[in-house]
This record gives sequence, C-alpha cells and structure tokens, in this order.
Amino acid sequence: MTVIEFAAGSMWFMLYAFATLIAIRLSPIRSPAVLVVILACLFTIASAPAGALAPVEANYWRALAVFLFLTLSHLMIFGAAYKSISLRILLDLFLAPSGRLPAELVFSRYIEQESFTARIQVMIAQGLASHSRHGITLTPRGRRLAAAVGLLQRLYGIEKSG
Amino acid sequence: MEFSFPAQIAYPAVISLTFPLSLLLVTRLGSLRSRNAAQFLAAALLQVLVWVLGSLALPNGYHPVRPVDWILAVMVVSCALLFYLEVWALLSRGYTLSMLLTLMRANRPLSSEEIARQYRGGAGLDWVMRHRVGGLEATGLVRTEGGHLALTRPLGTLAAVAYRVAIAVLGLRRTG
Repeated sequence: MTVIEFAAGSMWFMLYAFATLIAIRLSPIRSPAVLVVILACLFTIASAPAGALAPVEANYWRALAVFLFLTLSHLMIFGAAYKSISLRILLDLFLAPSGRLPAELVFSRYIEQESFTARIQVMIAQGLASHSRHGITLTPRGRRLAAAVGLLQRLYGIEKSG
Repeated sequence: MEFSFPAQIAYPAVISLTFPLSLLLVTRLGSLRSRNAAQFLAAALLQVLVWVLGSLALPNGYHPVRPVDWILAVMVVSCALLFYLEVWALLSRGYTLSMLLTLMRANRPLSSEEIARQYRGGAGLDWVMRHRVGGLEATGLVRTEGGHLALTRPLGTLAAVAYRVAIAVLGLRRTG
C-alpha cells in the first residue's frame, strides 16, 4: 500500500462521511440508518468510475480496502450511536443533575415508552407489521423476514435474542 | 488508477468469505452455548489464526512482506469481521427483530402489552433492562445504588461524553 492509495481511500471516505451529514440534515423524515447504508453502497459502486478517472498512480483495490475499512468502522459507530439503549442510558445519566436516576424511571422512559413504542412504529412504517382492531400483526413481508431470521438463529444455535 | 487485483490481498479476501463456517463450527461447542458474544470472539480469533498461519505459509508474492502490506491485509480481514459483527449483533441482540419473532410465534394479533409480556420467549421487556444495565455494570460504566442508576467516574462519564461527541459529529438528532 502506498501513501497515495491510503490517501485516496481516506479522501473518498471523507466525502462519504460528509454526504451522510448532508443527507441526514436534508431528509429529517427518512431513517438515518437507511440513508447511511444506501450512501455506503452508492459510494462503493461509484468508487470504480471515480478510480478510473482519478489521475493518480495507485491500485484501485488497495484504495478500496482502505475506504471499506473506514466506512464499515463508521457504520459500526453510527449504528451504536443511533440505536443503542445502553449508550442512551449513559447519556441521560450524564445529563441528570446528580448523575443518577431511579432505575424504574429509566426502564419506563427508555425501554417501555421510547424504545419499545418507537420500534413498533418502525415495524409498521417499514411495512413489516400492521395495526388492526385486534392488535398488531405481521404483514406477509414481516412474516418472511421473521422466518428468515428464525432460520438463521436455529442454524447458528441462537436460542433467544433481544 | 490501475485495476489489477493485488495477489497479496487475495488470501485475506478469500479467507474472509469463510467466516460464517468458522462461526458455525464455534457455535457447535457446548461450552460456548448461548454465549453469543463469546462465540463471535472465538470465531474471530480462529479466523485471525488461520489467516496469519496461512499468510506465513503462502509462496512469495502472495503473502504480506512489508509492514504496510500487513496493515492492508488487516484492513481487509477487519472489513469482513466488522460486517459479520453487524449481522451477528442483529441476529443475537436485535430488539426489533425479536419483536417480529414474538409476533410470528404468537401467530395471532397481539396488543403492545402482549408483545412486551411475551418478548424473548416470555422473559418480557424487563429482561432488556436487566440485560443492558447488567452489561453497563459489568463494564464498570454504571453502578446501582438502592434502586438508582449512577454513572461511574471517570469511566462512565468519559463514555457518556464520547457518545455525546459522536452524536454531534454524526449529525444525529434522535437516538435510542
């Protein structure tokens, strides 16, 4: 790997990271998680023509490895920051005046109300579940996804998840 | 840029594709049963061992020589491990996916309260709280004091500040 290959991969990643910031700001109603994944795929695909046009003496695949490593690290951090209940609890304890909160309050606020309710809304918004007068039920798409997940869990011996 | 595929990253790229098989092998070990994080760690270590030993055994031209070549190979192997970690985390810890499974296993419409009660095979939402808080306590970020949760100093405080910085840098408005 040369300095140019490392710089090319890093700069392409910086462009991607900047694009995610802009996209999240401009599309507040779209899921940020979906936006960053779509952009990661688009930037990976676009790296080939961009590499062909770049007037540098470098190997495309080495630069791509650098870009993919940085992008996947970004996606890991993004996923944790966006959805982690544990990190959310940490932040709210930090913001509490005394640095402590009643355990019951944390449970009812984050697990029962915000996270749980938000996830039901997400399932309905993504067409995985629907609301009827009898309650919440899976759509055919949600059933297919749940069946695939259940199959993978059985294959890998994951007895319980959550 | 030139597009010839470098021989030195062929082996790490190919070995990365075999990680699901390593993980499958590790999940068959009785001693690691139901320990999803430990299973992934063991499979990752096995994968790294196979990669390093294989790299040393490869003929010249195919194995990394200079430190920067090793760094590049580490990036390729890490890319794959990060990808599989994301998938494994979703499969073993995914909150929304577990709710989907709860609905599928019930095989009838459920109210929100019923989903909460039947979550994770009847463990209920309480389990999520116990699991997450247990993890925070085990890593020394939080301690429980008579029905209260408190941030530890300096570790918990540092983690919370780092999280706050990450939210700002990533441009997130909503989290959790």
